[in-house]
Amino acid sequence: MGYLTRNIAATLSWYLQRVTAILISIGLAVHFWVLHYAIERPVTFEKVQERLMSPGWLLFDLLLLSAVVYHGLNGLFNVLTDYNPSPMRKKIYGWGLTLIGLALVVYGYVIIMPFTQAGGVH
Amino acid sequence: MKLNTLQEWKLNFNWGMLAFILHRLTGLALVFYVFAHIWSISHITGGQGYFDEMMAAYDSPVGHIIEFLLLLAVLWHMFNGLRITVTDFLRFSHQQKRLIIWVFVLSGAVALVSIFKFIPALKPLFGLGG
Repeated sequence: MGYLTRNIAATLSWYLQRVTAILISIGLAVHFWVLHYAIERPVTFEKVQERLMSPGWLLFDLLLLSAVVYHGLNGLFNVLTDYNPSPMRKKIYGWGLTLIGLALVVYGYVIIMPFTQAGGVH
Repeated sequence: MKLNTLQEWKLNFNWGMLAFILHRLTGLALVFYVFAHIWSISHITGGQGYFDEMMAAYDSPVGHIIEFLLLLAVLWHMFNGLRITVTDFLRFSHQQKRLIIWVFVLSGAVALVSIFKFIPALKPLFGLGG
């Protein structure tokens, strides 16, 4: 039973790593286009705000952030797993990275919010 | 006979190993970048002027080079990741090693067409105007 659940979790992580890879490939191409080609450098608060006032772009950024954080930290977990940690250590890595990931996504959502409001931020 | 890492690398060299190492190094660099990226955007908590100042710092020769290196890491990791994905999902395992050359070709091509956009200071060197 324990083995079965662990295998399902590992397979899901393998699968999601590839699914997020495809989503991030598309998302990052758009992100690079928007920030390097569609606007004049340098990036300013107003230029970002103009885009993020649209709910569609806000959703795009939030989804891209979530996918990137999952993919990056899951990748880091895979790297750590390659060093053959004890089951206890593996558990600590897994939960530690999950907490860091959740905190990073929540913090990302919090700091994106000032860009979605009309007017300036001082 | 005991071999050092470099000797072993030379004896056992194969493109799959190189792809594995580059994927890992670029992956670790990109995870580091995500943290740095969120940190630089978090400057908004100090007001929009503070944020604009931070973003303006990227608009410098050093900033341009960092962003171009970021582009290179993203491109290589992305094309190699897509190679791994098609190998796994679309049963490309017989072609997977030959696909490594395409990872280099495609990331090189995209980097080349983007280089002047990312490092405008290179334009005058090629008579393309400032």
